[in-house]
Amino acid sequence: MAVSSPEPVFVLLLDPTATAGWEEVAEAVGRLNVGARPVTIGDGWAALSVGDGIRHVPVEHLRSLPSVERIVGVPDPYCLASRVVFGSDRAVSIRAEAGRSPGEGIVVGDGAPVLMLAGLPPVRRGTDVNRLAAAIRAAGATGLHAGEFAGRSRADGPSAIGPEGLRRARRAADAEGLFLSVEVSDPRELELVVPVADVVQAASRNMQDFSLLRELGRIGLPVLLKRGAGATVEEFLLAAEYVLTNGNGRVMLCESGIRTFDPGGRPRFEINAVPLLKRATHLPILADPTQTVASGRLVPAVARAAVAAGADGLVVAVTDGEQPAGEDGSIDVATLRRLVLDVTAIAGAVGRAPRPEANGSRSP
Amino acid sequence: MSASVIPTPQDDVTVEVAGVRIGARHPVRIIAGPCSVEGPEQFLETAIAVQRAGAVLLRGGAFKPRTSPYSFQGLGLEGLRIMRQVADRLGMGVITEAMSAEDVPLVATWADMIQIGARNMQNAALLRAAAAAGMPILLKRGITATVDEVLAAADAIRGWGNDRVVLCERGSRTFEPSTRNSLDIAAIPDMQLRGGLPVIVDPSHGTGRSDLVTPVALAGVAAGADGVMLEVHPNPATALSDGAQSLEAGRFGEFMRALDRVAAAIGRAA
Repeated sequence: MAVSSPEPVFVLLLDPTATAGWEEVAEAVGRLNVGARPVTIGDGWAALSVGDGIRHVPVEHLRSLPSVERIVGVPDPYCLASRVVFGSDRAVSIRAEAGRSPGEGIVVGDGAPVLMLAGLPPVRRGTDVNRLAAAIRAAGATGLHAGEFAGRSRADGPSAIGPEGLRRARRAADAEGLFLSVEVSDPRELELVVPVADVVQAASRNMQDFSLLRELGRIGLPVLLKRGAGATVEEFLLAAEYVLTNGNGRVMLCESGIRTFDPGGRPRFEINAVPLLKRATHLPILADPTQTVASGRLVPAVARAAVAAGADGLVVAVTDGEQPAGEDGSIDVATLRRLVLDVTAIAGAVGRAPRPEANGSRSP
Repeated sequence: MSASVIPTPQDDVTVEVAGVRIGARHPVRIIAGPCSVEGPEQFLETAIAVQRAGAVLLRGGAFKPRTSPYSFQGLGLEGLRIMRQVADRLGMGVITEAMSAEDVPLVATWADMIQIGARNMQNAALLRAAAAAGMPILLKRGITATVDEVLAAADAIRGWGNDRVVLCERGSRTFEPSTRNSLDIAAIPDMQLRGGLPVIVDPSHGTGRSDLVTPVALAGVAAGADGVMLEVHPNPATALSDGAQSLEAGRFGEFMRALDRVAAAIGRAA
């Protein structure tokens, strides 16, 4: 799939506990790279990329540095994201301190139970968030998506929440033991969102907002990247690489539809992307069918399909009950509950860990 | 051919092919065989392997719609005879494509279901001839057809007096370069709900890559497909067509076990 670079890029896997030795490695690597790169910190792993795929870089001398566990040559342009680095899936831990081993917090990926992130459709604000949070928790959700944050940097629109809405969502999530996900489109809003959220989402339309991606690489929270509707799988992986190479290894990728010839421009959920991504990267792969269907009636089938194809988690829009389900791809709580049961059965059929959550920690 | 009024969803329809009932009330049906019939041994070997693993209908190509005029065009009538012979020996039905209205009488004589290929979905003369033959018809979604257009084509066939139609989602071309097509998984429940017809999925064309066929086939089952159609070959590296997307006959049992687990998980197992 990816065009191989003429020269390999190397990824140094560092001892995630030996942080004292990282500076020495970073300095040595800085002399080889054009520009300094921070150490990328994932859950239970740390890495540094060396090279740009164009110039030859000698790396053998780096093996002797005490913090360096392994050096891996990667043929893909998205080197830190490449599955070649670990040869397997890696998990991301949510609601846990960055850098610790998975097993604490809520684990997604690497065979963990399917993550269920449920959110309000963006147009409806002023909803009783506490009631909805309780309902989705009872139905089996693991996370609450509060929507798009628009604080000081733009006028609040009907589709965004402000600082007060964010606080209410935080309280509701805490009351139910759900993790809180918030979408950010302006890097200046990270300052307000990062202290409050557990996961920061970047929307499809922002997938190639490289300034935003760099900033997401600098935060200490897991990041959920949505695929752009016009992005190839390779471009999507390279967007993830922007976040990773700027220091944040806790990235989840979400297929949310690609533009085709279908009338009205509705994106098509690309089921092929799920196994393609699983084969290309170690990062967890999620699926969001919401924008890809004319009716919420089709969401469960697409969601089940994604899990059968290997997806590590689902993102769905749940109606608040005041509006009928089905508009804008949303489902009601009863449908969510059934979906969780179906998805659990399918996950078992394709070899995932059963619920309640098994211990998600895996040795590297 | 203009799109007619999309029919309102009907009661779940069952289409029977050589004694096999396809539809929402039935288990997921597996249709398998090589892309092209290359010879009697190749077809028999593949048919035995897929039957043993649980396939209930055979597929094979005698008239091949090749993009290049220099590619293998199929064995034609000889291919039909080979398929019939093997199918009878194994007690199975066979599905094969008719590329033109002229082919229909031959295909109707030798096979149990007529496939209308993706490039022919709006070939009115072919659809009309197939309808008139009174056989079950497998209608593949056109390579850039919308769901509305598929349903209109099915509507046309029914209007010509034949309601034994099964729809097939097989992907369409998008900008993604790493796969041949992009399978539209949402079209499966969409066509079922709006068309009231059985819908099967073709992950072989829908991906174009044998390493993606299994996960996408499982996805199709999980999405509620009434059947899965797969290209299988004894030695895909030597196949005269579509080797890159064919499953190896020797490993088909392994594939079917994975599929059976997912079908059981959603209550569609045999």
